[in-house]
Amino acid sequence: MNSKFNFNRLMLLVSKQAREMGKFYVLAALAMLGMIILSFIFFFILLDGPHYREQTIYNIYATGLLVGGALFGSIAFTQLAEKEKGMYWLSFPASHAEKMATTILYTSIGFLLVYTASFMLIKWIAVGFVKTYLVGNSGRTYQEAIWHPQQTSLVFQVMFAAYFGIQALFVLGSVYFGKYSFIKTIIASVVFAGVFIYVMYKSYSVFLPEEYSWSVIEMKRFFGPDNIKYEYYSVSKGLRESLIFLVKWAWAPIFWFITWTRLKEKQI
Amino acid sequence: MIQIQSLHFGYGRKKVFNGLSLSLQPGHIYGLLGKNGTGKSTLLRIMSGLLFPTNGKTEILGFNPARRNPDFLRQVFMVPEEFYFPNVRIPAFVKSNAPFYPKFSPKQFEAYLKEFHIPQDNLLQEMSYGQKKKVLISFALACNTPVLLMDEPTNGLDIMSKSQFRKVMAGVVSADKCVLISTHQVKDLENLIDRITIIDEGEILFDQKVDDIMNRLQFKISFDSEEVKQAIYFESSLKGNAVILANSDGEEGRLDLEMLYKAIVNNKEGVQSAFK
Repeated sequence: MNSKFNFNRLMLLVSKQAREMGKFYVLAALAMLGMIILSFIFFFILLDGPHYREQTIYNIYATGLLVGGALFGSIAFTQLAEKEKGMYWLSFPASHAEKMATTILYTSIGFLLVYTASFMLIKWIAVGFVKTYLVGNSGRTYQEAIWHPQQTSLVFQVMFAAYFGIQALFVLGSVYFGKYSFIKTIIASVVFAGVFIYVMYKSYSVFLPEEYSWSVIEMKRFFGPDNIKYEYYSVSKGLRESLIFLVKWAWAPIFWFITWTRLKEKQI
Repeated sequence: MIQIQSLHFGYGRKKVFNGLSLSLQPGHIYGLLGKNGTGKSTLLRIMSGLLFPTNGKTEILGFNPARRNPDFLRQVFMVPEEFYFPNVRIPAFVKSNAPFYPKFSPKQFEAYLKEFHIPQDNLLQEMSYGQKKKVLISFALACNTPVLLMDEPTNGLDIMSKSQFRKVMAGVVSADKCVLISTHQVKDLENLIDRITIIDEGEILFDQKVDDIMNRLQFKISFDSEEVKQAIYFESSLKGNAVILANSDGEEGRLDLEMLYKAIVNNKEGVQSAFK
């Protein structure tokens, strides 16, 4: 049996998790369903009326996905903050990679599927209710979202990349901080992002002469009277697309990798 | 089976082990004794891969515990003093956990539960601490791992349960199994352990087989004041003076683990001189 990653052991872990955490997941799903219903009542039916827009529904979906995903991610490894639970989890005969994969399967994939299914169910009921009982009365309208295939595809890509990236960050936070990891992860992220932006800004102003303008993958050097002309430097199209792809999708794997490393180092 | 060489470990600046070495072999039940805070539980956690030494070598069944390799974890079971159970019934717990231990025996598990009088249909989190502990001990024994580490296993057990524990434990020793029991309730382990290791201040204070102890020391009640004067350790009681003497005549007696422990803590040199 492979000591690093074994598929049979992973399947056993997945079923163990379902058996031992099943009640919690059912309760969490019901709580999530309740929150979605409240969000629909408040943001769609009360605030959006009398001109109901499908776009509002998708805004609720995206916000709920990111916030709910982050919250769920922040409890992924809370057991490590408690000595007894942590010992039970760490001394269980499976590799760190298998344990982490099981957790990600439930917190990332499982949450996404259950959230989306719950959302679609409530959407179907809410839109049906609005169309049947509200639209047509006293000038009330329902406006369907307009889909531009290219734009929609980009929006979905960014949304899911953000979901996996942000959630992976909060999963990592749950290993680092244990208790109150949601709040501590937010504080740490803000501090880290602030320091990063400050360093980048300072580097930009120190290393680049005044006539240069830089924006991540391209750079311009202005010259001539009134700086109207400029020389343009950029990475190749292939490299540019690869970099954009990485910036979009690499966050989650990077955070998962750090989480896995931290799990291996965890002591209780 | 278990080799520890020059182990160093500390919590921050507080040193717990400063060069501890220990070798444990299969076929024995070892008793790890010591005062509170001497590092008994820490040592067990290092052995089970939950804590990493800052220096030194720890090798169990050829594995470095700190790597927490699944092949290592399925051969080492630790019964911690404070433990967690998911909120499921015993059959569900067994179904979830037993497949990870290749030598788990459902028959043995049932027999141990029966011995401990544990009902099977209650939720684990609804059971009392003592009942949960007995379930964990039963599961640990039924896993048949070559290494079994137990931290204060009799804590929280009532008098009957302690007796059941001793009965159950007496039947688990085999030639390929090494059991290490850490406790400060020394009375609970009498007649059970066959080697005693006492740690203090992060070092091995005493490490002898029970047979050797009985060959070298004599435990008795004495009314003879000369004998009391010669004793390595003595305690006055209403029944007379309980003494530990050097067993120069090869007399057979009964080991009083609590007395031995007190003697080692209070007169280490005296006890050690009997083994030279």
